[in-house]
Amino acid sequence: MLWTGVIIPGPLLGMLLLLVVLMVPSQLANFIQPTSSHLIKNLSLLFIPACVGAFFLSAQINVQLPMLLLAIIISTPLTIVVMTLLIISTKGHKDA
Amino acid sequence: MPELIMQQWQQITESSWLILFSILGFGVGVFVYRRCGKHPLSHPLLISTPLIGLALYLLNIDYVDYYAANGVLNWLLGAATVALAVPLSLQIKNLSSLWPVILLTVLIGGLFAAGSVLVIGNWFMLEPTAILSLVAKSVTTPIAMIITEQLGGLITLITVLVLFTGIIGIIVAEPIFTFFNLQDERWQGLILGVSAHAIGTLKAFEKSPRCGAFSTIGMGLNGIWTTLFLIPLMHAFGP
Repeated sequence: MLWTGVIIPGPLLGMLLLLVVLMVPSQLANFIQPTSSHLIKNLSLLFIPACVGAFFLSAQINVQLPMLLLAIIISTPLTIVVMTLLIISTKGHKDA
Repeated sequence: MPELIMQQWQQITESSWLILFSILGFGVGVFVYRRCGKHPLSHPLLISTPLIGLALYLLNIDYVDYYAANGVLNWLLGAATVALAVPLSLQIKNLSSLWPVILLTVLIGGLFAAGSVLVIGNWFMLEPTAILSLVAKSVTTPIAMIITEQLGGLITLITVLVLFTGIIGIIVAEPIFTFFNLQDERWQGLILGVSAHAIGTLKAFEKSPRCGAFSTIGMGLNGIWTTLFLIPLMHAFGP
């Protein structure tokens, strides 16, 4: 949906709304949790249809796959290092 | 609104017996994963998807038909995304003194994760479609799929790249924490959640419940934050 120029996808908006509602102390979380935790525990099942598609990509994308994986191999450690240095520099890690 | 409901109903009713491939594949995947002591390289998705892909290929079933047949699973992704609010809400209470550092880490970490692959992707001169299917790689899969769909990338590609990012993340995180002497498990958890989403969070829960709680916060907040900045950013500057 479009709201003040920022695009917020429906499911994420739903998540934010539920989050706001759950922040108000109530019994609601206890009521929803059995269902939601079941859904989250088996989340991988929901990714299978899209994931199988990785074996049916176009040749044009397939040739790029090694470069895509390399981009992740470079970017992921860098991201972790940046966050580690950030936390150390705030000294926030010292007060236990 | 009625059109939206009709659209969703159509997606659900398109489901057919081909959905059994996903369910059986998932069963096998979970079985192997448990047998391997829940090792990240035996993740149910890594086991089940090649098997299903092979079965479709051997039986000469079109992937498009298989995907449509899984309508009800795809539809549940929306509900699962909403459900992520529950663990997040349970963890974010009573953290008032830590909020500034948590927010700063998520804001910078999320930006850096997406920005760095965007820069590297451009440097490698990757196809625009490939870049659009890569930028959401640090975000938990259901949200990453939504973002990628909005951007016009391939959801079949992002799911695999998200999985790969999670595995790389948990492999490299521990040596980095040791090297920089970051011992506090709360911050280790937060970093794992922001950079390696659900796979990092699983790893964090293995260390301690406290580490896992912070990882849940990192994953959830980064999912929200990345959606907010990435879609407008890519519409403005993307390929």
